[in-house]
Amino acid sequence: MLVTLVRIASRDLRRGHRGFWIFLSCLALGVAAITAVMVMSASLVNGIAKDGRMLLGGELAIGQQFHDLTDAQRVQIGEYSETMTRFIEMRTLLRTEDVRRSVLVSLKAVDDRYPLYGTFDLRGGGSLTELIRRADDTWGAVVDPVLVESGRASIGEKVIFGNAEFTVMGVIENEPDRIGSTGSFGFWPRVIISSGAMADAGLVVEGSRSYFDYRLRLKESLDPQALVAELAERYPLLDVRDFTNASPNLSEVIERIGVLLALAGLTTLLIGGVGVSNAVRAYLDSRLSTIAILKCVGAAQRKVFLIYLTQILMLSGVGIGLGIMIGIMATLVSAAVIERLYSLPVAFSFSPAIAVIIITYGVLTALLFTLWPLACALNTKPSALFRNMISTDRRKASWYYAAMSALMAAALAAIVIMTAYERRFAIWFVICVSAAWLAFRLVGLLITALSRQFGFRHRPVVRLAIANLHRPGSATSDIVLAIGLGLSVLVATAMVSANMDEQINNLIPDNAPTFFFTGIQSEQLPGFKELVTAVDGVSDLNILPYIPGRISRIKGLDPLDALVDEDSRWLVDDDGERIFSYTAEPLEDVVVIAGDWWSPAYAGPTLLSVHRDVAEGFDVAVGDTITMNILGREITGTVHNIRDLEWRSMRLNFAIMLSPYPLSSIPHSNIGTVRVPPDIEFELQEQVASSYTNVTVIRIKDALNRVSDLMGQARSVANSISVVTILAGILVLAGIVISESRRRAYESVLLKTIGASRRYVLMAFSLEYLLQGGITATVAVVFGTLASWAVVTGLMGWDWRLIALPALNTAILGLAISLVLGMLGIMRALRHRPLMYLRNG
Amino acid sequence: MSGTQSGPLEIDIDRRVRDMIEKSPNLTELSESIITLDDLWLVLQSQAGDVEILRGVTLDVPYGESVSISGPSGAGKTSLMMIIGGMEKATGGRVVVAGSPINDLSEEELARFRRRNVGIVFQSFHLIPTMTALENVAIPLELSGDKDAFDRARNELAAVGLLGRLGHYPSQLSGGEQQRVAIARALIAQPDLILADEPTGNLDMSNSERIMDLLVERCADKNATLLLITHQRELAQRCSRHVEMSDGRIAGYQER
Repeated sequence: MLVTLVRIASRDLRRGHRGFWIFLSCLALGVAAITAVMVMSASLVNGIAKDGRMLLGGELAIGQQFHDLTDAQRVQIGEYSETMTRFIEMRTLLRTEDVRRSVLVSLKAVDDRYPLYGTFDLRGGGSLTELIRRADDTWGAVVDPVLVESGRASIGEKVIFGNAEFTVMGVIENEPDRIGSTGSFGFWPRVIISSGAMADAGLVVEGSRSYFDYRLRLKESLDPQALVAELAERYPLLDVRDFTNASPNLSEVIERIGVLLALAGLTTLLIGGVGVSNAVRAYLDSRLSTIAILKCVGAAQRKVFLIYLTQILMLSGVGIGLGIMIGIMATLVSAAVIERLYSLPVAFSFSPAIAVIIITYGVLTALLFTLWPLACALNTKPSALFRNMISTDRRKASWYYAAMSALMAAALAAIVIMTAYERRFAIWFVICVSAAWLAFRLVGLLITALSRQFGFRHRPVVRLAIANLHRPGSATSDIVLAIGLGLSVLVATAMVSANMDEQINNLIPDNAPTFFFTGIQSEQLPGFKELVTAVDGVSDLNILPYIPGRISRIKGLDPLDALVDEDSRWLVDDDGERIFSYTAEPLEDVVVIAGDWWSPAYAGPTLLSVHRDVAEGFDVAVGDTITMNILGREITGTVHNIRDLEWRSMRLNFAIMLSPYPLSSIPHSNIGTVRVPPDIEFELQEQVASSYTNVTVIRIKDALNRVSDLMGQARSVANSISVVTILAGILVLAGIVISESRRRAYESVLLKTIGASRRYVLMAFSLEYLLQGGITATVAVVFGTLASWAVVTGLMGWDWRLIALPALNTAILGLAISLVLGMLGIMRALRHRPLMYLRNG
Repeated sequence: MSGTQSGPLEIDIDRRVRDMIEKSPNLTELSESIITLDDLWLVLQSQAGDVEILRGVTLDVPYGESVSISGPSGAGKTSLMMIIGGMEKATGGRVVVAGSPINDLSEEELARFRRRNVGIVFQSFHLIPTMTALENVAIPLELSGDKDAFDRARNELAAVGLLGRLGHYPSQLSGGEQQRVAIARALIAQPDLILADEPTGNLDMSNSERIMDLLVERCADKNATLLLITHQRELAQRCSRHVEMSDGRIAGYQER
């Protein structure tokens, strides 16, 4: 029987598929968005895994900050390797003759064996080793294209690192292991020099933030993962990774962003669902007589249901297939862009698991939005055929179908939550989407109900427009939902972007320092202070010790076991390395929330001043103990006070400050901040950089510009997603306009017959769309603004400000979309010849 | 009903009994009448108050008879036909069609009842526009799971003179041709009862006569009872009995 039903379904569909392009477009667009995001995310992760050796620069990576490996360690790892290369990475200032062009870069010093895997490409070709060797008493350097494009350096130009002069010899085209870089070295523009040049420059001194890295090609018999475990146990302070884990942070970031974007794609699919629902309703309205005929010739309701369900599933299959194809094509196109722009390896990956998830999303969405209209259509009575009373009015279906729809929604939510990287976020997504959905439905109903109250007896144009908002079968509710949701996403994105810009622009408080100086050696302190304070206009020089280490126990527990607030996980995760400092004097500008400062003369057991984040994140109170591993030495301190200071004040602020004993006796470097008037910024930068070549000078504005650039990239991704979302809304509206065109044509013919001018008809219908668009845009601005507030304050933890312009622009866009599409529909309706309608009704 | 009669009638009755047992899901009554209506009422509720559509209709139609129903607009003719076809439920009285008390049947049982016992011909033909003539005719059998549906449909269309139009869609057929397809569809499942609601209402006079001839002839061939609603006296006269309705009641009978 199933075969018969499928046969009947396909037969009926054969000549009845017209008008289904909206159904297919809505479904395909949503599925394409999800496919593109999921396939791209998987392809990136796959690419990173596949090219692990190249991205890591070896089969095994061993390194540590501040200190090179000991001779014994080098001998030991030498026994494992067939070939080994060593490089040093650090942040330092690239100086040019024009001090205003000086810029912080990520400097990497490599030996002749670099790279062990992959190829290092230079723009215009050439050998890296040749270009960076010493020639005519000057070392060579190759630079990031960004430096050339931004005018910070040019080929052939002399630049200075530390004590040495370099000639810019080439521009980097491809650095194969850039992604596998340690920590945040990938953040700054890259410059590569030779190891010999690094020694000449005198940048590596005790306490400078250099990273000493080794990459190994292992002997064939060795298992990299077993070796990682062995070395990690033997040398707990070394960072050891193998090529299967080339860039754990990047893979995690890609997966997280992938899930976020997939949820945005799902929103598109859900908005498209409204279009699917409308298209199916319009289709079934055209099939009501067929349904009645089938019932008349003895088809039971269940069979009719199965026939049309089969049709919907067949069409969904086409829509989902189209969506997957478009998504894959979009992935392939954007893969080339991503590979070129970000040097990320993309290895196309479309696994059965991804296919199953996408198809499930598509099928569940299609069913969720079609079961109800289908069930309503099934209520058509066969007796209606006798009186030609096949009605397109909405009919109410049995609770059974409502329950089935609810089940589909629950299944969709369950899959979203189960497949999400962060369940908590996915649960919030489901709650917010459901709430927004309900809210827009309610607004739609409210508009319909309110419009019934207004008569406008003396203004027939207005009366007709308002009556159309609530007439039987009015699509007001659907338009408000689809366009409203799309516009809300657009408003939210625009407002979050505007707030991000605002935050970045205002990130530097008035009293924030101009420069950070890192790597100041203790013996350099007197001279450094003298040099800096001698410059006119310099103020607020603040210097604190800077000692790397790890939190090893909190209240006697493993730090992760003591964690009570996930927001504070950053203090103990990743490589776990944090910076500690000590002070005898109470810190200025901080508010002590609990306890008090130790006296300046205190020399007893270690006391701690902890930031409020540590106290709240690990439920630490005054009197609790925290143990730190500093340079291999376990130091346990007792919390003496809990202090508060806004991180964004940019003042020196450490999560944990210790009393001087015993840290003051450990060799360490220092970090300093200073405020300088803008006109002497570059003068001070040049003086410090030329006098203290080991000191890294970070200009806050440069760092923020870099952050701003990265945020700009994130913003463009978010903007593209919101554009796709609004596109889904437009498709839905287009579908509604098309499905209503016959009714509008009939109405316009009737109006003209009773004496209404073409202008009158245009005005009445335009006003209807204007009202719908205006109300929808207003509500979307409210919801989008609320959503942006929730994202900015809740997810980002920033202050939120109402910025009217993006909201206003979006409202205008909403109005324009509604009006333009509506007008197109009206023009189409007005083209019909009255005779046709008056004859056939 | 008598089982003691001999000859063709005996055979006929035996076949009917077998058919009734086979076709009627809730067989409770066996009689010589295919339609038994007893004090039938249909009252619809509206905001303006109850509207009495049928008011105590009593009618008995034996197997094989042809009955025409006439009456002014609003007399209740179509409502009566809808109740007999199991597409509307009476609000009072007893309805037994082909042995089934159809007022007591569920939706599912009514669908089965229609599939096995009733064929309907409408004024507006009501063919499925997306299906060819052959497919339109085959569909009742397909729904019953009959594997020979298309062969039988072809034969049925041949019988109404449309062998050359098998692959045509309704929009490609004339009104008369569409109604022939509808007649073929109504008869293909060999129902005991054909309900025809103004089957010639949308046709011109010459076409009307041809369609009526065909309908009567095919019903006779299949030994099916015909219940015909028509305003045209000439067509009504083709039936063996005429029922006049007025104001929800039967106003008169006329035997021919």
